[in-house]
Amino acid sequence: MRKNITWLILVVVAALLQTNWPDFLRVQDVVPNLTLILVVYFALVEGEVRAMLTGLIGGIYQDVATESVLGHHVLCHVILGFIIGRLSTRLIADHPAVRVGLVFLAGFAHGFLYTIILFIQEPGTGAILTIITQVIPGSFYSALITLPCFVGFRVVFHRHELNNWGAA
Amino acid sequence: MNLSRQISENRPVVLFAVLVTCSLISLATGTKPTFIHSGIERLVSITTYPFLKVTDYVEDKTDYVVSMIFDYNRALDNNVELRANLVGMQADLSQQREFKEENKRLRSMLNFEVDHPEYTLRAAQIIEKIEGGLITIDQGSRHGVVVPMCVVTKDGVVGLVVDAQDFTAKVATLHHRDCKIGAMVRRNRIRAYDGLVHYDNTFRFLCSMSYIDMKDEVTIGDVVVTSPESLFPAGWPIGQIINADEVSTLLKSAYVRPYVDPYRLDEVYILEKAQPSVADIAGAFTPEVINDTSTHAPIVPDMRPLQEQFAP
Repeated sequence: MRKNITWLILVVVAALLQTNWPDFLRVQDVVPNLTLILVVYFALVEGEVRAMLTGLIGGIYQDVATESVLGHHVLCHVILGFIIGRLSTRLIADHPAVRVGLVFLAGFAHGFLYTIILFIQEPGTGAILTIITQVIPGSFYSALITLPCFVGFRVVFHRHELNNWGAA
Repeated sequence: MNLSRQISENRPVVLFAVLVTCSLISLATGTKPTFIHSGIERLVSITTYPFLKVTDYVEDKTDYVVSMIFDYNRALDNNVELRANLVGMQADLSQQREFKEENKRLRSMLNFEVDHPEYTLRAAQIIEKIEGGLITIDQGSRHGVVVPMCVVTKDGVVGLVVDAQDFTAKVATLHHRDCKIGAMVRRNRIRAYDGLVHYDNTFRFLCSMSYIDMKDEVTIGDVVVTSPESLFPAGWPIGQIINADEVSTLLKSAYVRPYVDPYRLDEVYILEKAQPSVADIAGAFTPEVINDTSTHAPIVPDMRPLQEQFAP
C-alpha cells in the first residue's frame, strides 16, 4: 500500500515536472521526458503492468495539463510501457548503456508516435520538423538524465536491491 | 470461469488492449469527456498550484543566481553605460536649468524694455569680468557703443563705458576707482559737495558719498539715485546708504551699497538714448480744456457808477 502511494505521488510529481519544466533547465526549448523515464524504469524493474499504469496516470495528467485530447499521451506511454516490459525479460537491462539506449529509443518512439498522432489530428503541423528539432534532442536529453533518475527511483522504491543493482 | 482464468493469465495483454482501445476511442472521437476532464483538471490545478508556486520561486532564485554569475560582465557594461547616460542627463539637466534662468532674465529684461519706451536700450552680454571692477561686454563701437555710455540693469546703475573696441567694450562699474556718478539721496535730494558717488578709497565699504554737509540729514536705508547732473537719467537707483560717518566737524560721509553686483551679472543694458516723455517735459499737470463757456452763476447787478460805466 505504502509503495503504491509513493509510486502514485512520484508519477504525479514527474508529470508535474514534465508539464512545468523550469525554464533554466530547458535547452533550446528541449525538455527531457520524465514520465517516459519512469515508465521505462518500471517496465524494466517491475514489468509491463506497472509500466502501463504509470503511463496511464502520467499520460492522463499530461493530457489534462496540456489540454490535449484525452488519450494522446496515455496511448504513447502505454504502448511503450507494454513493449519495453515485454522486452525487459529478453534484454540484459542491468547494463547502464542498455538502459540509456533504451530510454533514448523509447523517447524517440514516444515522440514519433506522439507527433504522428498529432499530425493525423492536425495535418497542418510540421511533423518532420518537430521530430528533428524536438523529438531527437528531447530523447537525447532524456537519455542523458536516465542514470541519475534511475538511481533516484531505485533509492525510493527498491532500496534493498540497491547494492546488487549498483554493482551491475 | 475459463474466461476469467484467461484474463488473469494474460493480465498485461488485456490491460494493454483495454488501455489502447480506450485511448484510441478517445482520440478518434476527439472529445474531452467533460465530467472526467473537469474533475481531473480540478485535481491537477489543486495539486499543481503549490508546485507551481515552488517552481516559480525556485526558478526566480535560480535565474537570479545564474544571472549573478553569467551576466556579471553584461551588468558591468550596463552599469558603465547607465553611468555615462546619467552624467549626460545631468549635464542636460543643468543646461536646461541654465536656459530656464536665462529665459527668466531675458523675459524680465524684455518686460523692462517694453515698460520703459522712453529709453533706447541695447542689450549686451558680459563676456569677461576683470578684477578691480571692470567688465567686458560683447558690444563695441561697431554696434554704436561709445565712451561714456551708461550701463544699467533694471535693478540699478552698473557703470560707464570707458573703452570701446570694435566688437567689445569695457565698462567701469561702481567697484572701479575711476567710476564716479552724480548722485543724490532720493528722499530729500541731498547731494554731496562734489555731487558724486564713487569707489570708496578707505576700503571699508564699496562706494561712498563724501563731503555731505553736517546739517544735511542722511539716514541708514536711504536710497541713492542718479542726479539730474549725471550722465544717467535722473532717478535711476544706485544703492542704499548703509552707514554714515562724521569726517570733520563740518562734513560727513555716507557709505552706499550698490544694488547691482557686477560679478553676478550676465546681461546688461547700454543706454543709447534717454528721451524724456512729453509729459515729463511739460510737467505732470496737463491743463483740462474747458469748452463749456456757459455759466450757472447768478447775474450780479452792475454796481459801478455811471461815469465809470460809460466813460470813453
